[in-house]
Amino acid sequence: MHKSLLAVLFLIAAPLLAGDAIFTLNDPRGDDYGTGRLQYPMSADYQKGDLDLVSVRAFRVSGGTQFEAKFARPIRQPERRTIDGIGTQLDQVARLGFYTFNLDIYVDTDGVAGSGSTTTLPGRGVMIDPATAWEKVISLTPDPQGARSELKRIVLRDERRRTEAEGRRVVSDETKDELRASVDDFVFFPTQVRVAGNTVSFFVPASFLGEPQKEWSYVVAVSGADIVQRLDQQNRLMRIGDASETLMTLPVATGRPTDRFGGAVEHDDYMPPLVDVIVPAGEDQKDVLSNYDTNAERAAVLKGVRAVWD
Amino acid sequence: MRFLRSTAILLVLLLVAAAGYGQQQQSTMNISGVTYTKWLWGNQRYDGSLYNFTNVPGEGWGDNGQGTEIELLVSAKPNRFLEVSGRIHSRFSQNFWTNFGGFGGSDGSCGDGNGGGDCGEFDSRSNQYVKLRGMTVRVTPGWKYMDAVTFGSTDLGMFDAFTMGKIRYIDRDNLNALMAQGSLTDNLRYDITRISLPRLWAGPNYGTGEFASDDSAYGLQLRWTGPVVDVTGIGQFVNDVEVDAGDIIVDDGRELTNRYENNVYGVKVDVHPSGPYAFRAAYYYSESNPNLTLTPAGFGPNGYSPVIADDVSDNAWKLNADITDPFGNGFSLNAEIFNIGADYLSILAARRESDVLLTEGRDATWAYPGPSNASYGVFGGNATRIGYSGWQGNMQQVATINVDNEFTDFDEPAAETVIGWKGFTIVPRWQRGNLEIAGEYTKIDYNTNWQAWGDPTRAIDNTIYPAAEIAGIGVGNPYRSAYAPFQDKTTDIALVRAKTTLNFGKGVDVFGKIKTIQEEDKRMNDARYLPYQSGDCPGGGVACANKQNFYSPGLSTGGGNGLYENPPVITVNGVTGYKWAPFDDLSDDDRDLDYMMFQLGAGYQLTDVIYGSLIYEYYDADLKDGNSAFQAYRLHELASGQHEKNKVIVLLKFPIGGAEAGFNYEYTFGEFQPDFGSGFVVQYADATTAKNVGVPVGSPGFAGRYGGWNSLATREFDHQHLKAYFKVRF
Repeated sequence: MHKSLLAVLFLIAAPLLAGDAIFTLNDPRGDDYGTGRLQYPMSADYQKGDLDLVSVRAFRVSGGTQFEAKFARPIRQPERRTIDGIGTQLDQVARLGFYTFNLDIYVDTDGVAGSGSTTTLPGRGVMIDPATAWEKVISLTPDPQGARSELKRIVLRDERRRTEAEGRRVVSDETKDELRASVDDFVFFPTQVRVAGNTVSFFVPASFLGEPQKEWSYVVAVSGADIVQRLDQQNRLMRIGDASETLMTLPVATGRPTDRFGGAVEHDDYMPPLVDVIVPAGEDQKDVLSNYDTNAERAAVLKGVRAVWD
Repeated sequence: MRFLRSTAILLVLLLVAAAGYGQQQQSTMNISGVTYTKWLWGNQRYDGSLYNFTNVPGEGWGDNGQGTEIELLVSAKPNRFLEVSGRIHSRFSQNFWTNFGGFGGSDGSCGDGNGGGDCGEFDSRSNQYVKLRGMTVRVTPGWKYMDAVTFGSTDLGMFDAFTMGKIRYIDRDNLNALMAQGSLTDNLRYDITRISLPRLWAGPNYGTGEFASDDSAYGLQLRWTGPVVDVTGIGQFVNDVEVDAGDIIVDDGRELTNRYENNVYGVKVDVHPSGPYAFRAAYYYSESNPNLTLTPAGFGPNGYSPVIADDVSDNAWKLNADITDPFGNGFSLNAEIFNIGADYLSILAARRESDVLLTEGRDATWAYPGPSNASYGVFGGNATRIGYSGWQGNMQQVATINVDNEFTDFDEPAAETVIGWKGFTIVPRWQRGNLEIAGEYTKIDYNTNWQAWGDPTRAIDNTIYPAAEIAGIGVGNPYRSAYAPFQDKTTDIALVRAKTTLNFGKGVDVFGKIKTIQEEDKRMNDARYLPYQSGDCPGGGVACANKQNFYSPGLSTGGGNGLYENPPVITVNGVTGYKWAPFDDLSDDDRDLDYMMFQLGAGYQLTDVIYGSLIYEYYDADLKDGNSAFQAYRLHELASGQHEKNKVIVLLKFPIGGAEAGFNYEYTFGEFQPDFGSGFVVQYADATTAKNVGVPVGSPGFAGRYGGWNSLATREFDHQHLKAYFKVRF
């Protein structure tokens, strides 16, 4: 009995052990405008500064790495309010304590140009520079289980399309299992998250990321989360295309919508819906995110950043 | 080897997914939809509709049945300046699967809206009718000073819960308005709107009169956003007019006369420097001016209207401080001081789905008077609707008496009025790793603490205040009742809650809470208001003399039009005495609540997609809420006694691609041991009483002034209900 009690107390106390700071990635305050034209939705759920990333810090803790992202304004916490016609509560869906943003970290762990992936998660609308192609992605999202499930579905669906394009119709169970497992190998959706004021902290196990190294580089991108709109059809009217393909990313559109980011030019389909990204020193976020070509079907390209180690 | 193959597959597929992003935005028109299927089950065996609760006349409530709603969404973007959207939506209402498509006529049992979906093919409640909803045209002209002009539906989400708040009634965008939004400078934004005033509820007597089509509200909001300080100013002007009945010459048109005016002004300041300290202040001032020749000029003790029957003005304000981890040790503090005037009135303030105060307030399981959550359970035919369990969770606070919890199920949040509240809340919070511990202490005093409705020159049954179910009755407080004829009340709320994740398996979310509410209400605290003269009822089987006591010339709380009446002398089983205790002491109506609740729960990701929770809650309330002389103002079940309530809740969530399934089962059981004091002869329920109010024949109790029955028997409650749903987007 006493041993069980001690075990429970240890499990509670383990996370309390403070970690050592490893590194910091800083980002200018006030640059939550994406390409420079991106505007927040005209909605009470968003206000200028809400998605303005100020810094990302990493701490070494027992069993992995604790990341801490700081924003310019206090993080909006999900209220207990009904968000659809069946009575779903926002705080039941966004159980982690935030609901307005996704924070993606693409980690280049091998430092080898051309090694890794240059794509980004669905809906983000950008590519990664091959020089810092990633091996691991950490995606902090309000509904990690939903996002993980959704990503697996997208991967399987695309495999089915690819298979059909090759004249075959059936995707083998072995391939399906392998694809599902590969999502877990390369993409991690944190579930141990805490929100305090302007800061959100999340734990990434060493079993996924390993021990951070000074040679690693990071692409950090903040996007709007589509968790409310995904669930509330009343606020989802002007969605263009299949919302599920955007992996809970709030898209960008023309004008000044209430349920998407505004500021796009008509048919400017490659304007990325990213609000704030960390770019290398000497580069301007507006230039980086605006460097796409819709006519040539070329997305903007983000380059990894080396962290400043403490 | 497997690693390499997986890598290759994943990278290719993600490339496909990313490329698809640019190809999905060619469409300019979109038709989509969602369908909700709901399954209700409960042991109350009501089947009046597929919602657990409503007060709306003619609408039903229930806890059993299966049904389906469909919502078709149509949106188009004819050009880059225009967006058009709308929905066609059916309602659950009484459209049960068992209707077999809604064919056939009514069997005549659906008049009160609780007829179990058999109103037939020609009744909109059960013929699967669909309605146009949310029709909106948005123009985004791209002008420097104007971002958008909106015609049609809106949820007013851009405004403010104290002035023009979110107002759901089935939909969240029932309101229709003309609205312009834009920026005057980089930092100064504006919203200006003309709202067509909802005739259903937005005025005295829950309406806007006979000539409703021109009734309107104008709103202006200016928001200045700076790096450290945000300032918002709001003005709202409601104008409800009628055709002047005195203008009988129609040749030159007809004049209008005012029915109701409501002007509200507000200013909010939000200071948020980059450090750990942030401060917010909000001040609102309202003027409410009903035309008393066209609207109710007064109410009895339980009047129903969202508007005070007089020209009134008042203010509401609050100050907030948010201190986030100033010492880097995980300790944070939120504090709030608030003062909501008794006469503060904004007819368009948020009616629900907002939470204007920091406190978590009372618990929603006790949202209605009486032990069983009955609306008027002391009389027959007014049995509980939502049931003994009430709603789940704690109440949300809204700054209006026009609270609306209509068409909700037990798993949705319920709202309560905070009109008249003043006090403060402190919420310390400590977070470290996965552990969060938070507390709350709230002290509430009331601007509605008064005697004889605050005006001893009026008769006690003629007040300007619409009290609805009357404030302060029962374990909780009737959710839309801010006023009582006599009140001298203070409330203290204290709680500690904690949550963490234990590193078992995928991580077990564990959470718990312990909460106490201490509430005292002396109600009548001045002997001048006692209904009868001292010694009027001598006891010993001697009849009362019925000599009234007058608090003002000709005005008494006793007698025919008063709140209280002396009891007759009766004999039951050889015992002779008063039918109920005479109201002869100021303590006869005293309220003293000693309340505690305890919650412990755990949640776990059972599979990749299924998240489950198991929650246990225990409630214990030791309540003195007046004695048999008080009789809960003659209207409600007396709730004095010992209450124990237990809840076991099982929750499951199951998202599957474009669909979501959910399951919420709640088993509530408990006991109420009445204690109505002494000084009366115990009576026993005859067959008629037993049938009317649902008690055993021969069980003890007493009949009140109007024949309502208060049972003295210990009541054992056993309430189960569940809600399961399946939601599919297509």
